[in-house]
Amino acid sequence: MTGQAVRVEGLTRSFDGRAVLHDLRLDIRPGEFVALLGRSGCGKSTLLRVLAGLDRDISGTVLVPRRKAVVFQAPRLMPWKRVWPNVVLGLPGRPERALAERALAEVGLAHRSTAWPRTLSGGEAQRAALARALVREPDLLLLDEPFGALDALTRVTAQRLVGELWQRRGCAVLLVTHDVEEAVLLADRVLVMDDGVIAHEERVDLDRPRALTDPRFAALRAALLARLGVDTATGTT
Amino acid sequence: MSTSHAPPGSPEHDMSPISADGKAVDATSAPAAPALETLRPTAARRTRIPRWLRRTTGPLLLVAVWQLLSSTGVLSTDVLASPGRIARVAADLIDDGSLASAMGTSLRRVALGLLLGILIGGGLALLSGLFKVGEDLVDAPVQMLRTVPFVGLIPLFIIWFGIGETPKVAVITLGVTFPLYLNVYAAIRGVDAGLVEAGESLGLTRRGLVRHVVLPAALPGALTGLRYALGVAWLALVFAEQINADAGIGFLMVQARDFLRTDVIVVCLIVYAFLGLLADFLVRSLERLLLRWRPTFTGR
Ligand SMILES: Nc1ncnc2c1ncn2[C@@H]1O[C@H](COP(=O)(O)OP(=O)(O)OP(=O)(O)O)[C@@H](O)[C@H]1O
Ligand SMILES: [Mg+2]
Repeated sequence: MTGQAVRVEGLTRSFDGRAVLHDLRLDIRPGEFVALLGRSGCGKSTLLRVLAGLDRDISGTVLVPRRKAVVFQAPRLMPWKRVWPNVVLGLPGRPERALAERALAEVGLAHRSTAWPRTLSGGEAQRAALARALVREPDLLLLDEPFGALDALTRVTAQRLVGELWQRRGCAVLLVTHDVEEAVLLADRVLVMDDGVIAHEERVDLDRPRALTDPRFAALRAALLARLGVDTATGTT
Repeated sequence: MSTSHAPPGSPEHDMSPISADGKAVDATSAPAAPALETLRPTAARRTRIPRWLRRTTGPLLLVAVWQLLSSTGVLSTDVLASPGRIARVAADLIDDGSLASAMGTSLRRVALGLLLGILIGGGLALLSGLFKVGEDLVDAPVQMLRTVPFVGLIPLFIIWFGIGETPKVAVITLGVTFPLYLNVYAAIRGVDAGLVEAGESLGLTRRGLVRHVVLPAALPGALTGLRYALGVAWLALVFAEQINADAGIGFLMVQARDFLRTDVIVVCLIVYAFLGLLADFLVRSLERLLLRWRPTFTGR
């Protein structure tokens, strides 16, 4: 493993003969926060599902830690379980409620631990999904556009929360996102995916907490947007 | 939004300049206020009459009209006995214990048939819903057999099982099996793949997935199947009891037919209906208990 949290080499995944991931290479250091950008349909979710072990129809080498957790774009809580049993679902043995409560408290949801998932707001449900991932104490946290469905204000809060949790937990994170600003705000390294490979990589050496007003921030954002084929002169996303 | 409607010194200004095509050309003119309606809270809109009273009014009215028609002679006793007479006959049947024993026999048949049907239909559905091999082996034959009307099998059952309890229970079992199978199978196959994937990502084993994700997700469909199966069970009971029965509500009815006792027949029909309602109520309660998590439209 040579001290890596993720090691992927020559990864290929095809759907009906069309290679969505093609000889892809990716390394993530332990504790590193990596953001993954790319056009819609370029294979980001596919890569994430492979890393999560949900898709084994692959060729190539994929090394991932045994303890990993996923947060999907939709919260995917089991509607027939209250919040706290949802959080500890799948943990070995008979997990205590206190364990779930602690994780819920970490995402600011302690007061909703006995609620039914359908009574949660979108942001609350997504935070519950985050608690469910954290309670597994993952060495690798995989986030597939976890804030995509949230409104702008809630998104800012959720981003901050993920940043804090990552700093506290020190796990490696792979965040798939459409939002260049979000990527630059949170990540140590931003990857751009294209044609089934990591086509570009940008190191973000800004001090945390990062300010959107920092000129270096704006420069990075513009560079990444240009990589994604968006002309920043005519306006940004 | 500005609160001053018109610039001072030009009071008439905001209505006048209208262009030839009818559009206001003056940007400062305020749009006409739309007519407003009051949205009353639901509590105020609800009627004062309690729900149970509203629900019982309809049937009571029906009975009243029926009694009226009978007592005025429009409806003769040979066609249909009057509600009053039916009530008296029912009281007699209850008093001499014949109704209770008939109900006991019939209930036992339904319960047994239902139990067997649930075991067989549910078991087969789990097999073909959860396992690819099970689907290949089970689904095709069941889908084929499903098209055979189960009532048509009664003569065959009599030859096979004689005229005792067995053919009656068998008919009910058969009637119950298919709706249950179809609903449970469809429910299992209709489980949200996203939730299954989430369960997998949480490290659930195959057994854990079935127990915590697939079965709870399939439960609403399974209960719909159960409700439907109950309806069929009652239907099957009526058919089964008309043939060679020596006990049960159906037997009581056949006897009454031979003596042209419309009153007894109606009592039996009411008992059937009542038992059906009771069964439906039981499943509804089960649904309310087991599906509390479900966001449902409860009606207005
Ligand atoms: N199960 C599948 N069967 C066939 N094709 C698939 C399947 N899953 C994904 N694809 C295809 O693979 C490609 C990559 O899909 P993927 O979901 O990874 O995209 P993405 O980068 O996550 O896009 P988005 O940003 O819109 O979520 C798409 O063209 C998609 O149509
Ligand atoms: Mg995606």
